[in-house]
Amino acid sequence: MAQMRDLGSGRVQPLRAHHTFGRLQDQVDSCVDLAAVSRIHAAIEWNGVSWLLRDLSRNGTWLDGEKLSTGEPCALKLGQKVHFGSPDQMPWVVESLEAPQDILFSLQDGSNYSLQNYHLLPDDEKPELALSLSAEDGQWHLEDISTGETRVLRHGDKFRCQSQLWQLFLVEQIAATEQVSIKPRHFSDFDFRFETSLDEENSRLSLCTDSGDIDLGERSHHYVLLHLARHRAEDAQSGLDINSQGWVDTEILAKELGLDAGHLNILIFRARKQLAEALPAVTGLNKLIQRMRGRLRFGGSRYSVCKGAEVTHRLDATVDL
Amino acid sequence: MNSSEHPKTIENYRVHDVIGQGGMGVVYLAEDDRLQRQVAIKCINEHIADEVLTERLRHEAQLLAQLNHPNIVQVYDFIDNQDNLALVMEYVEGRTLRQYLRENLCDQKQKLLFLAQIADGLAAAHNAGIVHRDLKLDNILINRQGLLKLTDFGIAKSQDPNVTNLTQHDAVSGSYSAMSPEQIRGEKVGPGSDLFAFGILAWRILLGRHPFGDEAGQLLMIEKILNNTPQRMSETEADLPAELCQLIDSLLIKDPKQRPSSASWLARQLQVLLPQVSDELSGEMTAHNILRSDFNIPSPKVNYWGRISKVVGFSLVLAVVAYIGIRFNPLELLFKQPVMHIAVVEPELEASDPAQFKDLKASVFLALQDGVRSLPNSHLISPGEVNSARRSGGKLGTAVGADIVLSSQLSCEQQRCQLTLSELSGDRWAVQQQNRQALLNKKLLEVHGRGQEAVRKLMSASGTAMPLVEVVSEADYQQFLELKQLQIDDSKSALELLDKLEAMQRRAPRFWRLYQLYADVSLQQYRSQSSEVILTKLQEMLNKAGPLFSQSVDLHKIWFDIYLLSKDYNKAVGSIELMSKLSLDPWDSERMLAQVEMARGDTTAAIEKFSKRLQLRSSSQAYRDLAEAYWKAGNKEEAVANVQESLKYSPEDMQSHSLLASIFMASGDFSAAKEMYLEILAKHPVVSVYESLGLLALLERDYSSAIDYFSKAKRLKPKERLYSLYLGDSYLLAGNLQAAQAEFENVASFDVAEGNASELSYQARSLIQMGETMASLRILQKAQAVDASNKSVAFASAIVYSKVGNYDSSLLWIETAIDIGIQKNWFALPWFDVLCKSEKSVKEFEDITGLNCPFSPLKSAAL
Repeated sequence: MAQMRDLGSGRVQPLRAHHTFGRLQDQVDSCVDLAAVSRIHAAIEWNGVSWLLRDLSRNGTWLDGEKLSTGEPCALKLGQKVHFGSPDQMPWVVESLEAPQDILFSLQDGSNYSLQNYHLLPDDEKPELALSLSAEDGQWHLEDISTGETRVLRHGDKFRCQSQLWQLFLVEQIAATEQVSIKPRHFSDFDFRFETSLDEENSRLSLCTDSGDIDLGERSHHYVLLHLARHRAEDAQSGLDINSQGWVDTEILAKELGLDAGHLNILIFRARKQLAEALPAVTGLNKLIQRMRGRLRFGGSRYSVCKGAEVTHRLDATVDL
Repeated sequence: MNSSEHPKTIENYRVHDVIGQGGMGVVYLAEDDRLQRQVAIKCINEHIADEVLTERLRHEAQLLAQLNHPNIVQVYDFIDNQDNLALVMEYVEGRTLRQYLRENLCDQKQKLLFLAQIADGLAAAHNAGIVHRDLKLDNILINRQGLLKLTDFGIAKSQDPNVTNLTQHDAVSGSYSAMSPEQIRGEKVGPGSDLFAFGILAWRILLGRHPFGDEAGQLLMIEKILNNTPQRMSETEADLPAELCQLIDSLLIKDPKQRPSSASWLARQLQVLLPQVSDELSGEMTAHNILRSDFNIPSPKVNYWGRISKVVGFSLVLAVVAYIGIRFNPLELLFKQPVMHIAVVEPELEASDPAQFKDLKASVFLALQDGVRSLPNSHLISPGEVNSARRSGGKLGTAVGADIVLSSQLSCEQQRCQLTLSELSGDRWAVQQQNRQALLNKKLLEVHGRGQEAVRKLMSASGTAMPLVEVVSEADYQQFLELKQLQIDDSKSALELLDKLEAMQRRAPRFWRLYQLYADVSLQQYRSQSSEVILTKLQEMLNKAGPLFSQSVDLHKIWFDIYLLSKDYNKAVGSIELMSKLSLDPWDSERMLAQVEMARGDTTAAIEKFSKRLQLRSSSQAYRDLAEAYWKAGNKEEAVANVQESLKYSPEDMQSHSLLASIFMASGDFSAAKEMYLEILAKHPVVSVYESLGLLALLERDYSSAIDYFSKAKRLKPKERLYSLYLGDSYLLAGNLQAAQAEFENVASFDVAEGNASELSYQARSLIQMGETMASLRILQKAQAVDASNKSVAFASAIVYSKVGNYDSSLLWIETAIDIGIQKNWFALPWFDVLCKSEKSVKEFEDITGLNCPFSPLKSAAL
């Protein structure tokens, strides 16, 4: 994540993919409240390769003491000083020139975290909230793990997790929203292959794709999926229709697995997180485990379960989700 | 850019740089060497290029290749080979409209102008049977001239049922928040769907928000678009005309059948609404807004119209009749406001020491023009046209087709001047009103401000115009006035002046006049020397002005001239369309369109346009334009008739006389031509007339007259080498070898810039006459390498080769010269006598030139 530091105030400013500076607080990304600064004074933008500074102002912008010609983009280098409005003001210093990156910003201590696809907050051990980038709409969704309530977060939105107040900082890359992009795939297009040891202590999950297998390793949350997958395959075997297959009451499931309901929930979110990280453009993950009136089922439509060397369950259904 | 990661070439395109890089691939800036143009190449990442994507891209290329419209990014080529899957497109130097709106504070007028351009682009796509289906701020580019271009027709769909429907399998493609209800439901999507998206876009642009409330997640948005009633724009706090709000509201109706019928209709409505919208920024401050178009003033509160309406009342009635004939639309009628054409005459100065007040006078002249420019619904007649009409006798106002003439007197003594400003109009150009203003010969900027306000007061305009003092310092303004009054007669002083203006631009980028002067001088230089460097520098200069003056018609006019000169006719037409939206007077736009036709060589279309223009109003220039078009079309009778018509308006006009003279000259009627030139000379002792008379004298083999005329030409323009050359030639022919040698040496010893083909060719001609054959041939070769299609080069080549006895080459060059437009009769000049006399060449010479050897001026009249 690229950032600049305002030597006048000492504040650090991460850069959005298209970042504007100026005096007009509600129009720009960084307000520079000096008389010599224009309402919209300058912009810095990421062109996919470098960061370019452009002066848009009346009084001018200086890069390392050199006045920029208005409207001409100029690539930034690390450590350069930028003066807005007058070369006599305190400058802003270029502190980092990494590619733009969505971040989560702590309003308490100013620390920040780069965002990938999926995050459990406050941590993976005892998560309360799941923050995920949806491949369907390209927006960040914040989900309460215990209630399942979801809201969409936008740039600058704040939320509280335990005692921490967080703010989302989105760079909004234009290039990434290009219409002709990687065609997103639904998770149920993948073939799930569960393997469990004879004592069912260790469970492994791999996904078969056109371009080879993805090994998701041994995780305890795989057993939850595996268990639900078995239920569903058995229902299918016994002739239940596609919409009725595999539903298990949450409390019964918890008992069967020897977990409390809260922990069960957490495992489901961890499974989603792992899939989101392994498959960047996958959609439908909130349906990995489907919920209906206190019951759950596995959302995959093509899978096999192996115990030891033997395939015990298999399902191949095109499910209308 | 890391060169190792990116290709150096893609097919025939040379890659220069990366414009952008995203998930789907890279966009390069590249050069098409064959066509010498820059292109943008959208390359798709190999690993995501599956069949569907390839097909879709091919589809996009096919659809867009059919479209050629200034508001749509032109697609040139589609590449699908082993290494690349790519779309080659017009390179738009600029940004997306989303970025632009983030970087600039735009007033409502500019925003409406954007919408009008988008509607135009959409209308063109729809007329070609193409629905965009993903209209949003990110898919609209804006170039440095403020021209909007729709792009990313990636999921566009042809309305032609025979075209395979590639987008069916992903019915919900497009950006959710800009989708129409029918698009969301996966139903048949037609042009109406784009109109719905346009409605949403209009909200985003005009109000910065979404009509269905601001995004609480895409799914919720879809839900709202399907089921909720959007907020009505007419019920918002936006300070917009009610008609506009209703228009936008009607776009957001859920049933596509109830939305307006077409994008063309929408485009016309927006066009009509433009004059109604304020160009005031909402909120504080005006001076800080860099985008504010120069010298625009608050929207008119018309008491000035009350007075004029009587005059225009009758023509309005005519307009109504004309409109009903076509299509009755009360909305369009209501807002058609008549435009007053105002001519500003250079102030007359009375002072015991006029030199002392020349800068003041220049400042007042500019101020009067700027004052008129700042008036609502008024059009300043080009100062150049007024100036030439003024020297041509007749009634100035009638000659330039003006409604009002502003004349002024400055009477100055010591440091005080009294400015008397008069408004003249009516059949007899009587003074209607006057006002007086005292001026101090001290601060020229203050003089400008007062002059400007005096005009506004005289015309009863409300408010004030932007004072120049906001954009330029007193010192720079003073320097500017001095530069503007300089006589530029050689390229060296022109370049010096341009350098000074470049320096001034860095200090006062918002002073638009300096761009105008820069352009005037550059274009004049370009016309006389066709040096590409000058044109490139001018473009660079204008690009610096670009963001500041994207709304300035004056700046766009310069772009038009550049496009016309560099033969980029599509861009020229595009700039006319843009200017028309920005408030270019139809009287001007019609002329520009006709000029494009002339340059394209379509004289029939040009004649049609120039004639149509004369039905609007008439002026000396308008008839002369038509005459030139007829002349170029080879219709001598109509050409002469129209020049004569033009001369009724300005009996002493030099250009008309010159045109007439060259018509006579080309048709071999030398005595009539000579008579005409002598007549011009009596009124306008200008250098080009001496030159023409000198050449006529050479044709008549009257060398002493030739020496006389060329000496006079040289005296008026001592630095023009061509006159020295002609003079040398004349002395040589008259047998005065010593005088000839002196002139030739003068030409040969000048430093000539490497790229100046014309001047190199003059040197070659001088050297050959001095007997320095090898030196001459070397320089000639250089000139040919610079620009073989330069008329002077071709002419010089014919002379030099005939002089060294290489008649075949000489004849070939004569052929070339005639091809590129030199009149055949010029080969009757004495230099070519040798071709007439030699048996080897006489027959072919006669064939090529149509002349009879031996040549005699009297005989040629029969041509």
